[in-house]
Amino acid sequence: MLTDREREAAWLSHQQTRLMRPDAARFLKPDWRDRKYWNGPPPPDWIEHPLEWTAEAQAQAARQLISSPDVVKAAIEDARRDLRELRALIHRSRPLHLLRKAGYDPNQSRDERGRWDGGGGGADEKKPEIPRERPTKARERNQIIKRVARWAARFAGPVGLAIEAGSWIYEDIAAIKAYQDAPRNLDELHSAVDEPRAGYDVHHIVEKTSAARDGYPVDMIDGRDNLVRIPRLKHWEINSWYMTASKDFDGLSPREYLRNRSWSERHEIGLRALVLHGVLRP
Amino acid sequence: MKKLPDLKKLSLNQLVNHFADIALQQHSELDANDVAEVNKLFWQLEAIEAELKARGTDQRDALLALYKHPNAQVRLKAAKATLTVAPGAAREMLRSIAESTEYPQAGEAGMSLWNLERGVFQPT
Repeated sequence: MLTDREREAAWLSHQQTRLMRPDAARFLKPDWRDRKYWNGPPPPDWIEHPLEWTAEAQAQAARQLISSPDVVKAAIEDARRDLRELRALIHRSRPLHLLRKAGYDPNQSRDERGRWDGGGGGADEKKPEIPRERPTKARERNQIIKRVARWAARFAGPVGLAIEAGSWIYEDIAAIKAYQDAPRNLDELHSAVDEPRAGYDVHHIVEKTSAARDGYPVDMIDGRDNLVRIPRLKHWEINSWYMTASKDFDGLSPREYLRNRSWSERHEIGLRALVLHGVLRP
Repeated sequence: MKKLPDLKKLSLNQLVNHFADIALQQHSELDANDVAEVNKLFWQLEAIEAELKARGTDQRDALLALYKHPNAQVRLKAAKATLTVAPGAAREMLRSIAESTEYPQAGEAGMSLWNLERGVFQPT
């Protein structure tokens, strides 16, 4: 069984090589071996014996792809992921304009908790501090993970920019990365339930425990129409929203407000929560 | 969580500052997934709002100053507390938070706008 960190390393290694031409060695300078900067492991085979990217090599690569549906499927999935990341990037480019509309000045300096500190400030929010030692308390780890995820989603793009190699937070990098997902349509969220993935949770659109308490049958609660796979940190945010006292409901939490209410009202609110938390495309 | 001082003895500015501090604590507790603490702090915010409302003419409009606070949780709580005294500005602030990508506040702001529209949320 792979640990999260090993799975992450494998994913990263795949990402580094999947767009590399088989004849990439042609682009290395002949004296690469003598250069000071080479501190890495022994060179891989493709450097010692570069493959010419000939028509025959291309045809062979194509044959290999066609004969392995899993590889084709993985390549399509990779392309879709790239597209989603691009969409997320476009989505992330909106907030500063909207915040300015609210009278918010992004250049105003603030401390780590978001309070004004009276200084001049820079254009970007400060990178959250990640302690070297793993905090022993879950609440502290959660605070750091969420801050890093939010910061990466809003300002940094690739999560690697925020995290030092070897940091304890790598345990949660899948969840941090998943937090950057662009909203998807409902069919995508439903069908993803069949493909468990690190950093994601299966979420009940109509809350499971309260629906069971109110007597709704298990086949409705755990039915396909009620399940979606969503980023874990979004799952936490939506669950917290359900449990938090709100002025909207005269001081009740949404969960208390929905007690004894119809399935359709719960479902409508559940879908709305997904949209408004940036998980489901409107 | 700190106990609230006697609110009746506080100046308007002190009440506004307490309101912002409590909303910031809420943000921190939300990050820690400690919803029980978030809920206790909710009732402290309600107490400050009630004190402002009870002072002669309704003084909740003093919370409008928090619309420029850099923290989204503070802006969100200030907007919801001023819906009666400044409905247009408060709704605009909620819209602005809902359209941002500052989660989870964007989610709560959007939900409040929807609840206002459908009459579930009736600010007093």
